[in-house]
Amino acid sequence: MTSVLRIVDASFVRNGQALVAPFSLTLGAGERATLVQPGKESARIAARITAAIVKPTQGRVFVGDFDARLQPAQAKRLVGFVPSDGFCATPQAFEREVGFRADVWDADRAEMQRNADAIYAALQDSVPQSWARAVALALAPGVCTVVLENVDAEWTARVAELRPDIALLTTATA
Amino acid sequence: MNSTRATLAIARRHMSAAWIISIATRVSFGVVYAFIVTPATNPWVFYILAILYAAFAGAELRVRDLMYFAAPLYGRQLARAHALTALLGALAPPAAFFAVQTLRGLPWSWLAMLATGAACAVAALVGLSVSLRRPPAEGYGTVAATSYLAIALAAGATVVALFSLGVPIYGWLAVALLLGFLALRAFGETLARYDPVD
Repeated sequence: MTSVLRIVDASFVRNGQALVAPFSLTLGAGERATLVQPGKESARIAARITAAIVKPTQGRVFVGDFDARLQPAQAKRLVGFVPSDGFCATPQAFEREVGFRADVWDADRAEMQRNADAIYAALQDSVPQSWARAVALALAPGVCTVVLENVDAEWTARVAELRPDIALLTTATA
Repeated sequence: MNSTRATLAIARRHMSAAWIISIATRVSFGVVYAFIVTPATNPWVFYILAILYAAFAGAELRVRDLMYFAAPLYGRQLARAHALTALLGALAPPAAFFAVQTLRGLPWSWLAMLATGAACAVAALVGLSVSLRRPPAEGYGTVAATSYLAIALAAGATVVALFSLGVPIYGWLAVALLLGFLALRAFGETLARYDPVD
């Protein structure tokens, strides 16, 4: 199977302190993995490394065929990221953010809104609504991988049921 | 990728109700100040206030929002979009001031208006670097944030000082363009290297 996310010995060090120990993983379409880290901060940084948002101090991250360090914009197009606190709390903010995503991803606004609304409608009764909105935002552009930062296992299962075709990575604390 | 569409989307995202209120407040100050200032007033009082407002127009933007770093954008694209918003915020108060002064029959020379606009633009572009060094919990209290604010004020003041000293337009305009370009480039590179881990 072709990998959609490949991480090779990625680690993160700040001010001489190793916050994320080297880790490697490979995920293909439809595969699931949980990255367990010793603390909440480590888990947050590891999630952001896998979503190509934070650059690892050592190691490399490939999303699809793109090296996240050399082609960050192309890599980010293929990854959806859901932070633990969600991106937007209100329905009004949700609509604005969908429009923002459509413009930045250079996609059709109405189609992006339809995608996001469908994902939100499927999730809203089983997970907190603000988190459902964050997931809808992450998945609406048609990504091949989604990274869920420090999330409840039950909520992860709901996303996996909804989109069995994409790679799903979650982070958790030991 | 449609760069212009992305740039405008980011600029629009900045223009929340809070941003509009903040700019409207500054424009109001500009209008009120235009009624206070007379030809006898030292123009430096106006210049410094305008540059100060401009520096904060760059510094107050929420450029550390995780949404920007999760989006498929390069640092330079983000920098241009943030700069567009900062420049709008920076130029609105002096524009309101000059408009009211002109209506009151106290016209300024177009060179003075241009120099003020250039100084405000430079201050706003340097001020953008403050926004990255301003942790939400600490406000402007960090050494890095305060230092960049001081640099923004100094850069803006340099442009109007050159104008006031009688340096020809191509001299101070070249300095303004150079300072603005360097500030925007430095901001873009810092954004590209920035890791939103907090």
